[in-house]
Amino acid sequence: MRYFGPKSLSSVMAKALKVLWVLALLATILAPFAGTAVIYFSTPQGEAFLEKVKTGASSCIKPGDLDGADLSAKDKADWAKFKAVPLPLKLLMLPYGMAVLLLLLTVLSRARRLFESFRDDRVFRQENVALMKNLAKLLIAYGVLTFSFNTLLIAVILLMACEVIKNGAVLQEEHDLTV
Amino acid sequence: MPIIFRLDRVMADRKMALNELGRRIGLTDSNLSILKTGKAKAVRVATLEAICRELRCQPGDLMEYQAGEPSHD
Repeated sequence: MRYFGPKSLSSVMAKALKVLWVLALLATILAPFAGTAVIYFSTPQGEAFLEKVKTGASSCIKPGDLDGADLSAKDKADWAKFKAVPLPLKLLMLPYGMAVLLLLLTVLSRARRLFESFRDDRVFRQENVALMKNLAKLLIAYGVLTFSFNTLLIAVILLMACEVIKNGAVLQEEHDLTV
Repeated sequence: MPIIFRLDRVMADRKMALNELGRRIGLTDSNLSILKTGKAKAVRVATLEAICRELRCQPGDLMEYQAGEPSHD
């Protein structure tokens, strides 16, 4: 299996990361609206509005259509737990969620650029060292925010790999400038 | 860089173009250009030998040392 260059694993990864980046961007754009709606409907005012809709205040929906019969017992219990969370804490979840999504977006963008560089057979370059260091720092921040030890471990391994690529970049430059 | 290549001077004396020299010694124009513009970090002995053979010169004719800022590696 080829790892670098055209039609290699790097090429596949670059394409996959592009798709993931677009999905993450859509999620980032929709998240504030979805999050606000969820928080609103968990408040007494939001519940009253939902009740109005259920009892047929809207002419488009018949009573009983939104009985929530599709919700499992676990979902109902989770929803009840979420409703019990104080409003200030619920409001804090929105910026936290946005921060996590924006970090994810940046991580995916950097990773895509790195794999695009590998796809173009530009492996041992100083710009890749800078990209990898940047990516490692972003992953550390992401790991801390999401309490993910695996992400932190990957970030540390990436930082070490940076040193290898750095030495490789020096050797590559020497090789390129040897006549 | 203290070591300067006088490749263009010797090529002009021998009336040889860069692309012709490259074709004879098996180097691309861009590689020879690296040498000519002083960007080269190292020269293989085999390359030096090939240039001297085609330009009918000595290695000392191609290089000149000028004391000055040392190159930082």
